[in-house]
Amino acid sequence: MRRMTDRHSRLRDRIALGVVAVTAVALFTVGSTAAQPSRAGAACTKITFWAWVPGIDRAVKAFNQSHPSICVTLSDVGAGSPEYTKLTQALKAGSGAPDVAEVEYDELPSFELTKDVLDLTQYGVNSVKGTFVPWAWKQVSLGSGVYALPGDAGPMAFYYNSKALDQYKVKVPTTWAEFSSEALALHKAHPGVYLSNFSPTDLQLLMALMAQAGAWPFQYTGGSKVTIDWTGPKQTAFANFWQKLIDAHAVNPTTDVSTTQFANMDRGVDIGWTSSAWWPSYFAPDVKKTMGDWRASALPQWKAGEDIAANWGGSAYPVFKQSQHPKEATEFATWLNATMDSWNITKTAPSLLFPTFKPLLDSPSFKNFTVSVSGSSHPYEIFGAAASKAPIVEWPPFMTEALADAPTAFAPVQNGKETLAAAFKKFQDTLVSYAKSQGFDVSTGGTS
Amino acid sequence: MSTLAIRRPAVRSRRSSWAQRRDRRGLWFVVPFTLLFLAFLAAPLGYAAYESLFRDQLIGGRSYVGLANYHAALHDGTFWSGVWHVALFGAIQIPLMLAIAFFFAAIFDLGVARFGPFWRAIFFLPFAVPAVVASVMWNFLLEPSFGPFTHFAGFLGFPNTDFFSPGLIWPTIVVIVIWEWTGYNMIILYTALRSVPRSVVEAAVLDGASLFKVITRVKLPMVRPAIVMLVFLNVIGALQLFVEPQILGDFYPTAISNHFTPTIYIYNQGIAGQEYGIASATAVMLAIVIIFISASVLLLTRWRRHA
Amino acid sequence: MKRPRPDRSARYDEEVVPLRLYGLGRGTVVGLTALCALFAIFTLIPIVWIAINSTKTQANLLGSFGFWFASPFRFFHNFGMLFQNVDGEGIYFRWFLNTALYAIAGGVGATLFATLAGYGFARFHFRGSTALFYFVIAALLVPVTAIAYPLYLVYSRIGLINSIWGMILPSMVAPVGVYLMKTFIEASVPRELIDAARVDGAGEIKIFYRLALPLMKPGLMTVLLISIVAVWNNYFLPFIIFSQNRIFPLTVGIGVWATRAQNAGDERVFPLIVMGGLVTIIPLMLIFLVIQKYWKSGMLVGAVVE
Repeated sequence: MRRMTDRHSRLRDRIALGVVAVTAVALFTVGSTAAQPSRAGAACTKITFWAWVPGIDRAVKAFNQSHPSICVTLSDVGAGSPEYTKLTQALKAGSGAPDVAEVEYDELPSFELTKDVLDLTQYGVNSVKGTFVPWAWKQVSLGSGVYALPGDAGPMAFYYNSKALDQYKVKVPTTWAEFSSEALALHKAHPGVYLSNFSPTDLQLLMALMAQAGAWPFQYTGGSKVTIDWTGPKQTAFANFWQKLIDAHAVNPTTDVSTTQFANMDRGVDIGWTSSAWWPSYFAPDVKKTMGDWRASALPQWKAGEDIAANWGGSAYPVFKQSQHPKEATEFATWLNATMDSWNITKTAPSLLFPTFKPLLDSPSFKNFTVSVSGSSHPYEIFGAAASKAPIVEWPPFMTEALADAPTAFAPVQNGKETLAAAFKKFQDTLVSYAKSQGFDVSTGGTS
Repeated sequence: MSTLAIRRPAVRSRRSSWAQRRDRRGLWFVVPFTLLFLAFLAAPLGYAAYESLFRDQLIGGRSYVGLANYHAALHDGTFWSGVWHVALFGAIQIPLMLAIAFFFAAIFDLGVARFGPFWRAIFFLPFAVPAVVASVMWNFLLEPSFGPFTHFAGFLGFPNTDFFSPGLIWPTIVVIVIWEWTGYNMIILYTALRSVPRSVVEAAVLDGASLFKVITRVKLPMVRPAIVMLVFLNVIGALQLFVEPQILGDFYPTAISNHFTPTIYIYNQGIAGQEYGIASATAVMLAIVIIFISASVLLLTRWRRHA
Repeated sequence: MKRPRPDRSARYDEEVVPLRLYGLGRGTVVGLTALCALFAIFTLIPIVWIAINSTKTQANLLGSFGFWFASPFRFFHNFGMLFQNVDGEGIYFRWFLNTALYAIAGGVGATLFATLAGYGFARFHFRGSTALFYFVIAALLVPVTAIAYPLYLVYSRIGLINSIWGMILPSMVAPVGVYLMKTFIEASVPRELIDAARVDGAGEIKIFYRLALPLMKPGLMTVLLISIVAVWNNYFLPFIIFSQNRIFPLTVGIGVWATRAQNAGDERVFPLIVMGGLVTIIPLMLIFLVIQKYWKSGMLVGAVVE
């Protein structure tokens, strides 16, 4: 009896094993053959490119078609921090880094410090210097060297639900003082509605606003000296301004760019948002009720009549030291960022990048660009005006660490357990101790 | 054929050289695994231990610091708070989950509920779900403004429940981990229970033992080895908790700090902060803590058995 | 001799002590069954959720009731997207094939090596075997985050970065498998049987293959299942060692989508994540249902009994 079951099951197992083996071999063959677009004539120079911009594969494809001698392979290895950690890991280990990668402006200095990015002036990039807005070119330069091609930017504006503002009789604020009083009044009259959210855990947004307020907390121009100042008078004033609104529940303490926030915006809980040029397009897929109602207006100013812009993020495209073909890599990066051919692709959905490339920025059709959530209005007029006036900022070379620390440092503020000024002090201490442990010569104070 | 000894000889020196040679052939069975083990587990471990004696700085590069990193890890308050968190987490989650798992395993084994195989198949399904997917699913279910569970909580009289608020985040993770692992633990306990000889159970029942007594006095002791193994595995899993908070932290950065669990702390130190030396030292420190806690738990169960 | 009865519902299984002997009434049975149903509902909620919501558009995902459908019904559209390279962010279907490859190769390899090693530890007593065994088990205690970067470094030296073997080979190292096989073999492959065969002059390999292996089958199936699942669900290792999108397994790919959805604000991928999650878990669930029968009648005898 048992023998029969044994033989039976032995046969079945052999069949199963056979199936598994065949499947494994098949999968192995499929999996190991690179499913790259096979190019006739493998004489093209291979370039690897890491980026996460949605739809940038269209630009890569266009480049490959128009430049048959270069084959660029795109790989999305994660947006932001995951990509940077992979980059630093590969650069430190000595192999595995791509030729070109998308690196945000705030992360570029850390790669400049470790000398992992090449000075592209040797490949002639200065010839395109004039086609970019000056502050963007400055962001990618260090001394006389240029270490990346500027890509997109995120000039900021105040984005609001026009129907809701009319309904609640809120004036569009032109100064932060107006913003504050409108927010407080709105909350008093309608406790469940907010003029905007405020999420200090998003460090990039926080620092963009601080830059506009003249409260930039870092000084760094390369080398080992860095100044970290989150507790100076300007920084504290900035913190107190927002703390007043947080305490009065006049701003909604929800995490920025989260499903919660987008749902709030669509349902009329949040009727405004200090946002950058590219967020509205990301907001669109979540919109059902307020489609077409959103308008942009210039970011409120600290002093009436001033015209200081703010920039939230944006990426540059450096070439790495490990690259075997730096000349071709530079050619690709230049094409990607300094040609209308490329921008005509990346300005459209789903990429919807906002350019630092002047020819596009200044073109009339660009100013008349519409996005679905904004109906027939032209938000790019506002954003475009801001794009050329962003303040010039100095990023320290440890933003990965700062960005990783920020949510932890500022979560208590969002949860109402700590004031922003107190969190600034704690964050300062964290960054100072980190910088010191990394061997920097740290000074505090005197940035304003 | 002459009767063979059932138990192996008590005195080692009496073993014949033939037996020794034969036993050495056993080495060959173990060699393939051991080679892979050394190459892919032991070697990186050794390298990590080596790394822990150095410090990498953005300015100044690499330098030998001896045990300074260990000193720093030992005195690192954030690390120990993370250890405390996961220890507390484990102390609550593991007994709770094992109790539930054992309860159902016993029920199915005794056949006192209907449709046993059907329930068992369902309970085991979460094992098929990778932690990444589970975290995404639970993220949507518990989403503070539109999640079904949030609505349900409101319905029950708790409006505006934020499952990811500082007060609720740990219970939320407990629930998620219980969801993921109860079925697996239950199946192991169930098969262990099934191997208990019927005769023992029948004897107890005929002696007048109630259902409860049968479960606790007869079955429970006989599956103690399985329980010990599960406790061991679960303790290690709890102390190394990483994926669920990491993914949830992507959705709710305010809920998960960068030192939420020790492994997240190590990850942030080493990979985000590029302090590989300190991260390695912290990891070694964590391994020591895990050994200590696992050993204590195992000793505790052994002591209870002899009591 | 009669063939053994297949283990059907416990209610009619004669091996179970009759309920009346426990003094239980029908009420208790109904109550206990209800408890099972409650826990089953708890277990199924996320799975049902993901099945229903894989049919929704982005806006509906956030806006409509979680446990019922909403129009438009986009199941096939979402499913079709899994085969496309959406916005250059990677092709789900390729990740699926990758995962299957890694899981089957890694799982089969892990089972093979664990079985060999378990047999070696169980039935042979060479010098240092106990120490080696405990050393292997102790390796479980080290958090994998600790070896992530060193592993990357080792790989970069020997050229295993972005190689499928970099994923498959470490997956074949399964200390848990070795432990399980060792305990299982100790209990289910009698020493006497092996000794008798040895005395009869059979070679060790033949003994292993002909005699021991058939007896180990239930344990083997268990370890195979656990290994395949472990590799299928592995996130951290491939996350560290892979930087080419096209060789990602599903876990890393979905993770990339998820972080993009948060960090880059591109929430268009949410329907993809949900649909992708659904397709990720279905194959394993099917495997479970198939392997179920190996667990009836408590075939894991010995694996857990002293």
